[in-house]
Amino acid sequence: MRNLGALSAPERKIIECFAEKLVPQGGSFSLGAKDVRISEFVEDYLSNLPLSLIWSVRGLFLLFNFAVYPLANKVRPFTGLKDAQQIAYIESWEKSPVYFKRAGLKLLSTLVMMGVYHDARVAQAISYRPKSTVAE
Amino acid sequence: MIRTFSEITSDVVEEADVCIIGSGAGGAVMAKELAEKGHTVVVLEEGGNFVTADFNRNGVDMIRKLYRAKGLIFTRGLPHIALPLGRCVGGTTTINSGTCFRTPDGVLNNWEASHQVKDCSPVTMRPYFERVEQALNVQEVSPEQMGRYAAIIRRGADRLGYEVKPLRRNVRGCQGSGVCAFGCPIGAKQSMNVSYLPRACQSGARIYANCQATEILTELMKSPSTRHRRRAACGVSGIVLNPQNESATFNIVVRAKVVVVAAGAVHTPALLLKNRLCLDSGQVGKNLRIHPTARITALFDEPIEGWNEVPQSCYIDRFAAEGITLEGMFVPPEIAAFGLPHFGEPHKSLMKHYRNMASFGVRVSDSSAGDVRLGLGGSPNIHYPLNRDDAQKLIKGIAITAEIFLAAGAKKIFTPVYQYSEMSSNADVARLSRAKIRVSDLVGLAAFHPLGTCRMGSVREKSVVDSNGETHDVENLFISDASIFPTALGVNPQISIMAFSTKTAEVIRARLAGPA
Ligand SMILES: Cc1cc2nc3c(=O)[nH]c(=O)nc-3n(C[C@H](O)[C@H](O)[C@H](O)COP(=O)(O)OP(=O)(O)OC[C@H]3O[C@@H](n4cnc5c(N)ncnc54)[C@H](O)[C@@H]3O)c2cc1C
Ligand code: SF4
Repeated sequence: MRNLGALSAPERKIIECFAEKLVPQGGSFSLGAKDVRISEFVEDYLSNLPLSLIWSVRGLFLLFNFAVYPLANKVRPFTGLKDAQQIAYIESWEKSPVYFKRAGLKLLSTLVMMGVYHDARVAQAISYRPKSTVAE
Repeated sequence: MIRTFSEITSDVVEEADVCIIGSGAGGAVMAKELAEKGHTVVVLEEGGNFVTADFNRNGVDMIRKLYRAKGLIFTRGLPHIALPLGRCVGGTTTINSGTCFRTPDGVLNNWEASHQVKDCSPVTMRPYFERVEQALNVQEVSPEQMGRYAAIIRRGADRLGYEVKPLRRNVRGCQGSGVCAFGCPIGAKQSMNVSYLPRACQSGARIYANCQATEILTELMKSPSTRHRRRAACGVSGIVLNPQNESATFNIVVRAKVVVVAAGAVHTPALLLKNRLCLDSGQVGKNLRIHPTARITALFDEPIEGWNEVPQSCYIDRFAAEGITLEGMFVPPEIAAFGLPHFGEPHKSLMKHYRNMASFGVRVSDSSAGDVRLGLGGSPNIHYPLNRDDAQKLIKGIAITAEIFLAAGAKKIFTPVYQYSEMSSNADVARLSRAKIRVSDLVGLAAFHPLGTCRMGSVREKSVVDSNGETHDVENLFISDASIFPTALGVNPQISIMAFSTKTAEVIRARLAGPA
């Protein structure tokens, strides 16, 4: 009743494109979303969740991709925009006065950020070194 | 004895004095208190069973295993609020921060006076609090354990004249590993899975993990006093879940003299609604309170490494009379990342400095009321519109916390408020305090304390359970979890739940012993 099945290739592309803008390679630390198999992470995270939740998240990624048409007067979906346009598009959701855009973006970026910072190499890159503890 | 999916190879039929649904704060205490008195107890827990060695300190891994819907539960209504719930042996206590408060006297007195709850005065409740606190080794966080982020809070608060108090926690040998909310990796936190449940098992309680209760079995019984026929609980049936894919494998039926529902304030009302039980008052699922919470993060020049400390060690209750409490709240980077603003390089640069960040929470004792309704397939939908009053309190708390951080030397402050997600001066904070904030300006709130959806009271029309925790409508059906509280508590609820569970266990013991 609950299993999602795999994400489609276009969905993977949306997620990867989006994630690479959220956490690009280079800059403050070299690793980025490209290094962490982000669409596999999202797919795995969604598996076995209640169907309504899976559909909400998948639907939101699709909406995000195609809302470029009505909302930004562009003739291509998010995945078809140039890098600078993609960044501007994400920013328009982040700063939007429309609650649902900000809240939707927050949910999508939550999944991506968890996937990226959960990676041991990224944790290392930001000096996340928890001390070791032992049961007494 | 704890049996899990892998050990169950056929349908299960059990007989017991008491069947308890849920192994969290309410259910575990009930199991131990009754089993130790010689009653046969079966506990059904929908989530899996994990041991201390399974808790690997990786936030995302642990959320997947220990949290319901992998942590992706949100309220409906403006704004959407994340409402994490535990789904494992030990319930939400396995993933909580270990903070312990008694129910405030004023709250107990109000329940007696305004909600006609009998026998819940501070004096009556004291022995129950003491019993729980002793069992859990509740103690104040020592100055050495307070850590660097608490020192920063104290530095700022001292300058502004606010007192910072150490929290009380249920721990034995805490080493400040910073991951209480993802299962304590050394078994120091006295969550139910390492405290009450092992003791219940030692006294013969049988716990079935990966078993979801789906039906509360009832029969018509002649009441000895009135000779009227009344509905009474007589058992529970459910399904054994394969944790790999959540599919139902076998059936489980437990025949019992008493049934205790302790599935938490979201799933207890959902189960009653699904079974069409206790509907006379119309109160099942209503009056939901959640204690909405905002996390404020601050960037400093100095390294803090809050992940190597107790994540919740101190609090400020100066504004508690207004319903605002400020409390420690540190999370590892994989969880913190999505609470911070920006994306691209500006975001990476913040995360690069995460070791220089401290965070603190603002929690509101809410007057907003939500409800739990049945959604598709009988799963609960949580409706909770935040009212303006509570939103205003959150803003006030956020502003105060920001001032504390700035007074402590913070360079930047990050909040979940639209257009104020990054602040760096007292002038910014003053602007926030003056701003007309809409509830929809708050994106990224969380709430950790769902309460009140099967409230207690002696007026049948206004409550679901009586002052003993027994449902008004169904004999021998008790509720023992966060859903019974008539109002918000204003403090972290686990000790309140456990104390009331201890009290209800006495009533059930007397019931099982029969007329004197
Ligand atoms: C991250 C976090 C931190 C927290 N920190 C603190 C803190 O520091 N101090 C504090 O006092 N409180 C804290 N809390 C809250 C506290 O842990 C909860 O209020 C408390 O555990 C609730 O107890 P409960 O018995 O009502 O439900 P739970 O502890 O949630 O237990 C309910 C159990 O019932 C099971 N269940 C549900 N439906 C079924 C079914 N149909 N069949 C079988 N089993 C079922 C669930 O899987 C769950 O294990 C925190 C909560 C969270 C999420
Ligand atoms: S801070 Fe203490 S109680 Fe919390 S997980 Fe670490 S050792 Fe356990």
